[in-house]
Amino acid sequence: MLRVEGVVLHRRAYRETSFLLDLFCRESGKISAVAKGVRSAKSDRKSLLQPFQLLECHLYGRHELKNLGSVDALQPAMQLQGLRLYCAMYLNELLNRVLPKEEPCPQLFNHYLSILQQFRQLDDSLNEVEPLLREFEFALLSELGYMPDLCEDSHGEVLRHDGHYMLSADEGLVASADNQRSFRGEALMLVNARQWGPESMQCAKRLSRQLLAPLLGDKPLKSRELFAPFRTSNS
Amino acid sequence: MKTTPLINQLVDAFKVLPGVGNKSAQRMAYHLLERNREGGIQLSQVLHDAMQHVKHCSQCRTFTEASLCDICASPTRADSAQICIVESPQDVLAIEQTAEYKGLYFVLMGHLSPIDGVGPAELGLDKLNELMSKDTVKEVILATNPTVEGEATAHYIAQMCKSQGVRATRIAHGVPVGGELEYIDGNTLSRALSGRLDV
Repeated sequence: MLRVEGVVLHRRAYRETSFLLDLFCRESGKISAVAKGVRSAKSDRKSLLQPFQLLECHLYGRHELKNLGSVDALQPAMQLQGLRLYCAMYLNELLNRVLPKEEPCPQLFNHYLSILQQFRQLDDSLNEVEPLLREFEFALLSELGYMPDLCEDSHGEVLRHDGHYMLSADEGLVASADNQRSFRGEALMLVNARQWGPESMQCAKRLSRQLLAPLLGDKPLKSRELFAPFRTSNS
Repeated sequence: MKTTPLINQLVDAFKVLPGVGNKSAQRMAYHLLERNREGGIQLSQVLHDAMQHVKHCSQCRTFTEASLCDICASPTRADSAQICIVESPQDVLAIEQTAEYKGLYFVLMGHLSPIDGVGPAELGLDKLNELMSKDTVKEVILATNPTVEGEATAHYIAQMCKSQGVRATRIAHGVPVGGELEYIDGNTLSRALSGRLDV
């Protein structure tokens, strides 16, 4: 038996009364489990087995797909709404798509929980939530080993304020001429220092899109569609 | 005992039904063959007709074989000021059984769940926008399930209502009638508390 602290990333109906769950756990990373009999009218576990609530779960079985035993709430349910709810769904989709199974990443897990907590105190505006999303994406990328060094270029030279750099999958940042796909040195330094302004936000977004693209393949993240109304109302 | 290809096919065909595995499928197949050929033939005909002809109502997206479902076609309801948004056709039946509601429906056939590839376009929300732009519509009742995805869907549609200037209301959540507080799970109870009303 395995006792884990975690949150539900995704659940889907399985057979008549069960759920298939993807859990993100502090100690064991992403785990899949079957929750049997939960969808029946009598079970009160179905309200717990939803995203964004920190749970204590007991898991059984030696196979990759575990069986879920008892579940207890460790925190009250996060009642997110609007943009922040969509952002939280975005994080879940991202984790579900790119995180490999059963790879412990406790730091990333704590980061995820702290973002959910911070969402509760923010306003429904993209300017407020986007820095949190970028910081999480960068944390995820470095956990997976895909985050390039933003202090120096591929030759080990410190970035120049007025330099321009391209992202190369193998080498990291490569000095280049000023063009549409290049990043400004100054913006990269601001991103590295997590100092958020219009330019560094724009730069961070392009950076993270380019870095995530090979991990996501040709299927884009669906949650991005939910942000569309906020984009138009903001600009 | 060896079975013939046709019987095997019949057993396999029954397995498309939810909750039916090999054993139940075999029981059904042999029951029809042994005792109820007539019923079997009728089942096959009705099943064929239904699969061929049942489609979505052009206005509310529920299942119907006509172009408009009975509710949308009903003259007393067509000009109703209310649209009730539900996730599935079964939800329409559940609400109809209460006989409390006399307005129109809109069936999403699911909920927003980007992780499963369901976004606003898959739920036919453009059609809902069209329906809401009718002058008669004054209120949209959001009766999606009280799950995280259901809430996200309700919120998304509420935003659409806001931009159209239509009132959006959410059904209440809380303690089931005849229930006892002591046996209610914490999440439901805290929702019931946060949604309390003046008396």
